[in-house]
Amino acid sequence: MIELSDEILNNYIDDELDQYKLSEVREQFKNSESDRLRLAMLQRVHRELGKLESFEVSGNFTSIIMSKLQKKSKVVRKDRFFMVSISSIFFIILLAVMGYLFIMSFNNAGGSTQNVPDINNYFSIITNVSSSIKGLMTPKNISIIGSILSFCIIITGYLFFENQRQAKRNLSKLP
Amino acid sequence: MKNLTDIEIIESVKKGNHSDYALLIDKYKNKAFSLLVRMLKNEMESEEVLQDCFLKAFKSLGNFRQESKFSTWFYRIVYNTALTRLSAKKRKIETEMSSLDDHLEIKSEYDYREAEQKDASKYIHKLIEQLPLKYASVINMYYLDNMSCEEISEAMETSLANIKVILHRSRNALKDQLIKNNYAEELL
Repeated sequence: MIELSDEILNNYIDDELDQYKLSEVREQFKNSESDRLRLAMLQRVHRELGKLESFEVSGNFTSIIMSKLQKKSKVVRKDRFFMVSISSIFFIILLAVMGYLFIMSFNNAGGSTQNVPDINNYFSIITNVSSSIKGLMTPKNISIIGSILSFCIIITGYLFFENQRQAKRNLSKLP
Repeated sequence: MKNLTDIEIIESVKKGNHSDYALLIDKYKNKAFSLLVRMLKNEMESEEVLQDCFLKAFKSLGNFRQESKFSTWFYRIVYNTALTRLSAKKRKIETEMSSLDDHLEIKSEYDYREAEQKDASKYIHKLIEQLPLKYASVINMYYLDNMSCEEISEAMETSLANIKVILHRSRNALKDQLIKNNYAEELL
């Protein structure tokens, strides 16, 4: 006679006993009515748990999530477009300034915009560009450029957060 | 209806076919919803949390490394989101979550006159509703979602031994209630 603990009964149900233990347990069931009863109860519980019912979400659940996802991806696209536009504007301004400095330097080096410059002129052009940039980098100019850039960043930040807020408002309107 | 595996659907979604995500939603919504209802005990709140879970999963799909099944990964999101929601509501779940040494006792509020009808099945299902959070979660995943103990331990980030103990304790508690309420005759 062995004592059948609840652990052993559970392992029996889950088929996790080795061959030796299994035959021992089966022998015990033959001799003990109370153990048979405990096993029957546990098996009944196991069967009933197997019939556990599933709850169901509302009918339009999938479409609600898909529309939320669609809205979100639209917002992401809009944000990306916004960032690309702002970066492009900065890039174009930078190019324009560089172009202007280049042309100015080219003219100072004695070249002409109508003729193709001699290769030897390139060194003097580069030197002139760098000296023009140095000329621009006076403390006064730096503070002006800094102010302009700060103003642009503040405006960009404001527009970006306003855009985000609008997107969140739109999302919360969804059911 | 496309007949794709979870991995195929995920690959398709990653490639930009976002509409295929609806296939995953349809596949897991009711099972995950059942788990949430059993954890949160509120259908409306569960549906709201489930929406969050699917949105979170979509956002993190790029991080899904296929080291485990999608279902296991998704259930981890569902389980953790439900826990976060519960702690946000300041429910006293600490006692249920802290240790397995806690004594599991199901107090039967079942009307004895009803019990006299000897409907053991109905009685067991009433008792299941009273299981504590962690026990209800394991039972739901094991029996309703047909997850293995290993998968459950991964989803709940708990050791395999703990999951087995929870599973056995849940069954034993239900069995003890059956014996206590004299359902033995009906079963024999």
